[in-house]
Amino acid sequence: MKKKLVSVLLAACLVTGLLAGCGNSGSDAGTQDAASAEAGTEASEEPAEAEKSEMATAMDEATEEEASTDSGEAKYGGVLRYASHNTTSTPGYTPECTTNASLIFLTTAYESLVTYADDGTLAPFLATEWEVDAEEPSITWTLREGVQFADGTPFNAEAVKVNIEEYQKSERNETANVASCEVIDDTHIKMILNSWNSSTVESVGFFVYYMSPEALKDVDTLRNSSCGTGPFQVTSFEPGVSVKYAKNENYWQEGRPYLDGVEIYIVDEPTTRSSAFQAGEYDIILMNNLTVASELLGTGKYVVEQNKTGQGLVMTGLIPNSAEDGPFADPKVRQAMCYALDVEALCEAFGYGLLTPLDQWASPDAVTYDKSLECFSYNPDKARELLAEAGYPDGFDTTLTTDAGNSDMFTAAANMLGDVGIRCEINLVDESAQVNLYSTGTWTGIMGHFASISPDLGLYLGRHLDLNAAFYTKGIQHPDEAMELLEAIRVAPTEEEKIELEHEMQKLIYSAEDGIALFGRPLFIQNEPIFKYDYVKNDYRKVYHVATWSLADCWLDK
Amino acid sequence: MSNKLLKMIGRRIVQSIIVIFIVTLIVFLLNQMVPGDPIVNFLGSNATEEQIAYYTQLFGYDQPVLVQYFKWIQGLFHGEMGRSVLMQKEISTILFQRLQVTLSIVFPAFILAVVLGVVLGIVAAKNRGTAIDSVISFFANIGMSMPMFWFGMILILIFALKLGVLPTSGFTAFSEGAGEWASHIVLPMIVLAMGPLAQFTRQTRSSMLEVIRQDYVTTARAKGISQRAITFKHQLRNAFIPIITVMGVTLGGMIGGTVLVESIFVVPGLGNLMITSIKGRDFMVVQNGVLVIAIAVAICNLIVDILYGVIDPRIRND
Repeated sequence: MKKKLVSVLLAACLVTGLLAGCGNSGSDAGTQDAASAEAGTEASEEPAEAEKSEMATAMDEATEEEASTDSGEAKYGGVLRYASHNTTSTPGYTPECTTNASLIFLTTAYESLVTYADDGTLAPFLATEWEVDAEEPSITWTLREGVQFADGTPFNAEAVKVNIEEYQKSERNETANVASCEVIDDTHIKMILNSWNSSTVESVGFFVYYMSPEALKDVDTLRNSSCGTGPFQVTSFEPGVSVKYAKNENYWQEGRPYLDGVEIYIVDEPTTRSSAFQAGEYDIILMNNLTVASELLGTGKYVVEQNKTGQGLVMTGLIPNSAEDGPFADPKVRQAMCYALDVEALCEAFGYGLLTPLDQWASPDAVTYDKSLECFSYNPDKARELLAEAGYPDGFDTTLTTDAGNSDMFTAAANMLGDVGIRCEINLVDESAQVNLYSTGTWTGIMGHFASISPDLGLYLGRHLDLNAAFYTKGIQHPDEAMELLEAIRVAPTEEEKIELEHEMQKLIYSAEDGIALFGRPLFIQNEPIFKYDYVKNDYRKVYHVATWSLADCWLDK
Repeated sequence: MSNKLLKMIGRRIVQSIIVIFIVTLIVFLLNQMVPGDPIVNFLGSNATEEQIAYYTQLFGYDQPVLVQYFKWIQGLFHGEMGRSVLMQKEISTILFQRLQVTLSIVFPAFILAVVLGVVLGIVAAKNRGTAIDSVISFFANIGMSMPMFWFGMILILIFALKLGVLPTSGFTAFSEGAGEWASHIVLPMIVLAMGPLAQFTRQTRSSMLEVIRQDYVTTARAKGISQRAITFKHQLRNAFIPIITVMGVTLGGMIGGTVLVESIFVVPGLGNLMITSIKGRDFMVVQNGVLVIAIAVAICNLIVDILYGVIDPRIRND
């Protein structure tokens, strides 16, 4: 009896202790319950909707607040601490930084010939202007004068040539179209192209980050350091842990940068990242977990930003394997799949107000988005009708492959598909296995489609449609019409013609009337928000390109 | 040290080498069966076939599986572990750095667990059936069953966010400041020690209860030997053999099992490295990481065997 009493008392102590530990959430929940009770039945009927609109308002207010406080006088000093789940294999040898995730590390220390303007178009950076000649074909760059690398080596045409050749050694796609470089003088360089391609200016202009030719003589050292023209240079690099930077005393912009240094931390676990941010250990974080992001938004304490230009954004969709001999080889079945999915409902249910539904290969704000086009929308009756026309009146069994990150949403999508007769068995794999499936084109049925939707279809859609591409291409058909249109986009001599052709491509693939749904159904844009304290000014994180920032003007109002 | 004990150690070392060799083979073969390609993961979705081919050749992944295995083993004999695809660094350098970090958390956690676990186990056994025993056993059960991830998060919320007395995450090397190092390892150490502490407590209590009524204890008491001497010289020494077995296995397990703790507290240790490498299919790092862990476990087991011999003369003379 005595023992039992002691046990009960201990259990009570433990429960009390745990509740005290979770005190914050407990009291919040209590407040919410009380508020709901006061609001009555109406509030309790639509809690998700109310939560969503509150979050959207919080984001808008936060962004407005930042805009209004950016006008203060800049202060020198301080170290900016940023944390995200993204990592890099090297912060210094730029040809080996092949993913968008690396760009945040690169753009702290390195610069490119062009950058993006507010509207997502190309703007001068290390190059002040450029001339294209589609006939020759060539691009002639005029380089900015007075720029030097961190080690004092001048940035000039010869340095550009050396860097382009270094990228070519690594077989980088971005420089594959450059046949040769002719140094005209210190500030002018002509790149002779193999063939005219409207994407080459962006490829060479934005995706090549210039390293000092002197530093390139010791690549092993450069891999763990940096020597660019950017405002900060690497002082320490711990792979998978952190990269630390100090001010570049040779920086070409007068009086910049304001900060003494920058520290980028790699924190894979989102809850830990959020806790550390709330404890003031980081000034900015990128949040890739929507549940945690919604909790942070709910606090209403932080400035929140999402990219608006569309540059670097990635979409998530569902792509059927049309190359294999099965139902999805028939465009009608692919169309049926598109009609079966209620994308708005999926985004509402799983996005916490942070997902933008998508129906084309472009962000709705981008020039490549065709606003006049009527795309696939939720229509289960039409889906059943198309399936019957394709010879599947009773539907068919297939597989839907997903990674853990998207499994909830994709399971809901599978249920929607099942309602019209496309009965999916869920196949859960890890990210690397998924990458393997889409690089070999060997997925069965349907799987997640992850694609860059930056506004240049010739470049980005081409990476999945081109016969020589590395991803998805082996699992989809290549109809002549689409391939010819892709080629036409690539060789379009002017921007206007290119956009017109890109809209034609959107119509060919996504039109509700007769789109061939080659890439299945786009679902949403992955536009992970960043959270920061209001004292961080002018970091331009996510402003021009989703994966970059521009820290020359950044300062801390502390 | 007697000849018999030396022979026993020699036998154990040979056995460990064979085990380690088998481990390398199994890990290598398992890696080959895992779907995924390190080069494709490294290059990302913007890669072209030419780029993939270039790096595949550069890292030797285009060679036959057996050639890859023997090249790896050959490299090991020359002290070379190869190069990480994801980190573009020598694997031996990375592993050495990461192992140091892991050990700087594992050892304090282990010592904490051993000292507290043994003391609490003795106290519980000496007070068998009382409220003290109930309290200790209750908390030992809680410690055994508490999910590590949840416990870690609760500690972060309380000590870092609510009280603000400790950092939420990260790691500072001892050489960069003992205070900073201590503040960073407190929470991971507690989380890592919790399970072993409970296990040692239960094991010590149970072993002590087994020897407490042995004839030699009664004899010692009849001879008028003090209770302290009976406890430490006669009871604990005899009860220690099963405890040491548990300690050896646990220490090996702690080195290999810091994955979760390192992930929660963003500690750049071996466990964290293994997770990143498995996710990115950086097979060479995984292989070498497992090898290092296997060697650590083998060393722990060897120490346990030596301690058996030191504590129990019957074993060293057998």
